[in-house]
Amino acid sequence: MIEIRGLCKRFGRKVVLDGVDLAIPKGKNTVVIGGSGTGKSVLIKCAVGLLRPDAGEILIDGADITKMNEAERVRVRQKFGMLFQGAALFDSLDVGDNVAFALRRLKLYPERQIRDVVEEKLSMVGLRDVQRLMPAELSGGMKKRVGLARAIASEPDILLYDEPTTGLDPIMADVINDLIISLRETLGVTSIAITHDMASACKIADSIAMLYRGKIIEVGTPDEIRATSNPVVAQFVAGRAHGPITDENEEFVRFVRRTHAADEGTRRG
Amino acid sequence: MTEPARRSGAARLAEGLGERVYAMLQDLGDIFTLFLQVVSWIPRPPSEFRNVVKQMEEVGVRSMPVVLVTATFTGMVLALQSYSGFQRFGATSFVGSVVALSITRELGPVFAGLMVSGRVGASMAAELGTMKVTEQIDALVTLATNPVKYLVVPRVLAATVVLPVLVVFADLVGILGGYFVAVYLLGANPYVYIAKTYQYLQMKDIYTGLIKASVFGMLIALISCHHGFIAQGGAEGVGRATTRAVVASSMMVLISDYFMTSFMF
Amino acid sequence: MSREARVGIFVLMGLIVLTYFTFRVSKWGLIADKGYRLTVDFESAAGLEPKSDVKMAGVPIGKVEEIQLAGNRARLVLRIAPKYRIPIDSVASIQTQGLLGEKYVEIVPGKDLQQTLPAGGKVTHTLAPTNLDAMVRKLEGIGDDIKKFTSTLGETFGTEEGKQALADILRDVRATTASLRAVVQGNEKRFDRILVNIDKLSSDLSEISSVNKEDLRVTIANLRSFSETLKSETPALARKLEEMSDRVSGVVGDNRANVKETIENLKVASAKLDNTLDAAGRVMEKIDRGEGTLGMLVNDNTAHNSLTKTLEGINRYVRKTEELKTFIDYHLEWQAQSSDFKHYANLRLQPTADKYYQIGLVDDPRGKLDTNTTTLTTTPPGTTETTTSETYTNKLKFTALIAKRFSGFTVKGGVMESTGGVGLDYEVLKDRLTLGLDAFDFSRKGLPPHLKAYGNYDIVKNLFVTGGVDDVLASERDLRTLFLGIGIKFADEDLKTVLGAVPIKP
Ligand SMILES: Nc1ncnc2c1ncn2[C@@H]1O[C@H](COP(=O)(O)OP(=O)(O)OP(=O)(O)O)[C@@H](O)[C@H]1O
Ligand SMILES: [Mg+2]
Repeated sequence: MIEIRGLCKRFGRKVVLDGVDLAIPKGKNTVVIGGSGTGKSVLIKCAVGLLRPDAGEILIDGADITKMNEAERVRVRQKFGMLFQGAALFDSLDVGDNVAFALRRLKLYPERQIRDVVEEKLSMVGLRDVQRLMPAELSGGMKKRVGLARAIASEPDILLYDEPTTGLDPIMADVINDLIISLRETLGVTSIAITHDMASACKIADSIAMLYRGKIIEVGTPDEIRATSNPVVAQFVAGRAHGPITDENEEFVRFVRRTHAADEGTRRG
Repeated sequence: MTEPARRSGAARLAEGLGERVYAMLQDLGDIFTLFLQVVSWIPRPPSEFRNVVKQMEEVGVRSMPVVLVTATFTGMVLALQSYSGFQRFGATSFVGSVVALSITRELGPVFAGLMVSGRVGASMAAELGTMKVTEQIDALVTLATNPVKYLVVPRVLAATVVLPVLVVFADLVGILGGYFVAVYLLGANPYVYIAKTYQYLQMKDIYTGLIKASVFGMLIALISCHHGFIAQGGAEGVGRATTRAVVASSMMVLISDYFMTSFMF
Repeated sequence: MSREARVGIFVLMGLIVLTYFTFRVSKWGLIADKGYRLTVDFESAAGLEPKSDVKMAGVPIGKVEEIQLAGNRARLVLRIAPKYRIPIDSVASIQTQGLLGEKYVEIVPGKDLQQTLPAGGKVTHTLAPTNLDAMVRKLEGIGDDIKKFTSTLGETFGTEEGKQALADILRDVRATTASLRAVVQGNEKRFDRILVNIDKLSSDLSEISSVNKEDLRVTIANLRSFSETLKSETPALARKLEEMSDRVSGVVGDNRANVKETIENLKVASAKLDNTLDAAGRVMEKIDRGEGTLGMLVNDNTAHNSLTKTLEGINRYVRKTEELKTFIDYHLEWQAQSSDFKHYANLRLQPTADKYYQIGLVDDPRGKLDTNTTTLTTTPPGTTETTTSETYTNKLKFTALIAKRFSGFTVKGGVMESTGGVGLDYEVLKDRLTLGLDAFDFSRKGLPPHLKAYGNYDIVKNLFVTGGVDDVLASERDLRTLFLGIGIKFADEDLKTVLGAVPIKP
């Protein structure tokens, strides 16, 4: 159970999160959607304690991570697994060592079993015989999947996925969606996933939350979100270029109007 | 140029200088904090033995060629210079002593420190900087690993241990380089040269050199890791961090050398 | 090759090179620990270094191992290669190789080949080192003398007046000899009288000359023999005289050659002067050494011997007091955990370099633990609340230790902070830095022994800083603490003398 209350975070003068309230129920997948640069990655980094929020609280199973000292934070973090947007594989270690990293640090398995465990985790994300490769030898999609394998390797209670399916082909994306669902079903993992892909969001989400202008503006089941009356959410879900989100940016609006007018003009002409 | 414009220029200069000094003090404080963190993490499990060994290879074994070449030529040029200088008052028999004392007490440790600052300082800052900007350091944190313990402790330990070893080699080849020049090129008596080399040399000279080297190693690793850690802004930021690490650690080698010398001798 | 192996080889090779240096560099170099030791005392060992050569007849036979101060003389410990035997009456001296060359100990072997010095023996005969400074000064003096002589000569012969005077003299001599011939032929009696006069004159001259220099004496001697020859060989003499005067005139005419010769003579003279100065120097040394403080004592052996004995007696007495060193120190330690100050004051008596006794006081702000149990009866009645409060109060403790030193290590034991304790110190950097570990209070209730790890560094002779961890093992009750401190210490000279009078048997 993760509960975020009044979370504020800014970088310099730029306010990114401005009072986010969000509850992530235990054993459920919550998908956070929102425009690029709205602060989704910042939100989950705050949740795992990588960024220190300026205000607000983040309760992990009732304990506020923002008020913990370093030792407690370290203990709480062991409940988390995180997939980074850019995979963030350690490029001095090969794939096998990357996936086995937490297993070795926490001594979860004896050394002779580690290779097998790693192979199993890699097969869960659709990879085989890559243990000896270095991250530099992988494609972007492969890196992402190795990153996912590394995040789930220590079987954490809470998983944070930052765009798990971005950069994957549709088939592989669906494999990953199934994996996320099965982790929830079989292990009861609580998770937050960030995605721009509405199809994938609807498939994996128990609930979807939309982040806009530093706040969560709507939370609901995939069906509720699709049927929303909020024009902002509606524009995002439908993926339309015209709407309240784009209108807000005057430059952008003018640019859209101009191309629109030009379209009209060419049509008339 | 008009009066106000000039004044504003001066004001800007002063402001810039103030910022520089402030940034430097902040760096110094951060490096000291990092040092305390390193000390506090060293005894805690898990042991970073394999990482230490890896860094020892990186800092020590791989720095051998550059350190050996530098030290050999330092010894050679020392012999050449002191020979031509001492010839003027007929004290050429002391060339061996001068080479041995200068190399062991001062030039061996300092040149090894400077070479390692350039070679290893740069690579540490670049590696850690890249890890920082590609979120690998964040990833470490989420994988139950303290970045200071996993990244900085092995580097600091390795550099602290390995630099004296490099300096022992530097001492040896520096003395040999001086011997080569004095005996084969300048025609010094080899027996006298060796006798003089070891006559005025004391273990204290060698040990203090090694202690210095140890401190240099620690400082280089701490400073380079610090600049790697605070890198931001992609490849350019990593480049900047690298430059700063090399400049700061080379300067620190020379500055700390002065103070250690004045304390120890 | 695995990474571990590479690193291992790297470090191992470093250690091997370091070991090589240790062997080459440390006290012994070539002869290593082989060989036997001898000691020898000198007035001064200036310029001599450990590892300087010891030579006999110019052949290196060992090295100087240590240079210490024994009383007020320099004591050298020599390490002689085992195959060399040194006669018991050999003489040691400190010599210099070349003008800027380094110093070495030269042993001039004695005659007594039957008796040689045993290991640990002492070379009793020494020659004071020919000090470069003293020699340069002597040379300078001689140079000055020569300059004075030559300038006088120059004045005499250089001026026109001088030349004229010489020419006149020579003319007179020639005239005299011419008339002499006539006189001799005519009047023998008168001649005899003249000869007597000349004889008298020459003896007068001789008297005068005794004040003067050698060459003058030679001239006078010549003059005397001249007058004697004149007496016995009168007829041939006139001719000879004439020849001689001719020769003299030629010689003086060539002024320069004459000066050259004079200078040659002066050189010989100055060499002799040097010898004289040497002799004077030796006398001075004798006087310095107290072998004969006064001129009349120099030859009087009995007086001399008794004086030496007296001096030795005084020396022994003084040395006794010199060896007992007394130190007083006081320092305070700021304890980081509690922000309290702990004070220490110690008196250390050190009868020999490897042993000391120490007594002291410690004012410990957390020396005494009071446990207060208060029972409060609160509302509603019947419920009680017991609070235990632990407070620390000041306590004065005392220390009494015996310590013994083995090279760099000092082991100590006795009473530490009013409980039994032991400790180990390691001294480095010429004893300026002391690293130590004290363990005491082994029977604390519920706590491990009190372990204190510390380092002291002498900034200057009388001021030191300290720091470390106190109560390392006690993780509970915030007892373990970092500490930093500063202190002063004195080796009290006055106190030393006073205590020196009291016999203390170590
Ligand atoms: N370390 C940082 N320093 C300064 N600004 C930052 C930092 N991290 C994020 N930001 C700013 O915060 C804002 C939100 O960033 P964030 O990465 O959370 O976006 P996002 O919602 O994940 O976007 P995307 O969907 O493109 O990943 C961005 O405008 C970014 O400029
Ligand atoms: Mg993002």
